[in-house]
Amino acid sequence: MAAERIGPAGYAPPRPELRHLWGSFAELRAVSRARGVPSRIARPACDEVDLESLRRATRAVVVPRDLEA
Amino acid sequence: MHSAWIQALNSSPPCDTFSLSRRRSREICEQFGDDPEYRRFVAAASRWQTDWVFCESLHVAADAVIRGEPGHEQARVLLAAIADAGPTAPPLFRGFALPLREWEVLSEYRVGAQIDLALVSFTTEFMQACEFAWVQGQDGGTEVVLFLEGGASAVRIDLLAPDEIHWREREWLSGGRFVVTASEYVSDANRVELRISQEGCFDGR
Repeated sequence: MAAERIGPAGYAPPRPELRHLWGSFAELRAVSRARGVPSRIARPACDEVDLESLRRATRAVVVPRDLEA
Repeated sequence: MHSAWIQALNSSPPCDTFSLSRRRSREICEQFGDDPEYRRFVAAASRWQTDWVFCESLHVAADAVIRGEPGHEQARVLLAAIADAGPTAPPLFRGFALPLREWEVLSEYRVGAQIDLALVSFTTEFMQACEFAWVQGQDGGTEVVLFLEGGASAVRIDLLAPDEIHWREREWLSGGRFVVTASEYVSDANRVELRISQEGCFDGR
């Protein structure tokens, strides 16, 4: 069933001090970083590194001519 | 009528790797990159995913837009996209912790309780939601995992993620009025699980 469009009547957002808990993942992530909580959320596992991006980044490295020798 | 680019995002096949996700994202961009509505959404979604300070002002702006005040253009863009998405979302999850005891959570969010959220992130990955709940719960409070029933109006934004960290969260953006349809304290996991359904979306236009 399609979600209905709701007008402003009765709109009751969360209290401002709790708003970040009900918002974006970026806000949740920021809280965990601030607390220094180690988490997979803050660091991707090494086995899931995107190899294609890594190769592309490696190719992009320009070695100055005077260092090639 | 739903925007074609929202349909393209929401109906994209699952991507097992970040590189596949980037490839699909480029395909969608090649198809809709000239659409100013799509471009505005990508810009707003990108800030939603990465700029937590801006998210605070987006909440205020979304409140204003819903109440018929000018607000901020990017809040209008996100609200409009959610409302346009139609009932296409799969079951989604969200984890966090509330500064309440478990019985207080169950009392405040009992069956039938309404939760108004203008803009809110969900994930398709249950374990991701559990991890967010665990992280949040480290500082006290009760871990809560929301189960949003399938068929909600939401936009899949993991394909727009700027990097693998964000992509792994399998993020969907939704909002509207949600109603608690079931609630339970799971003692083994020491968390409250709330099943919610979307009653409607706020019309931001």
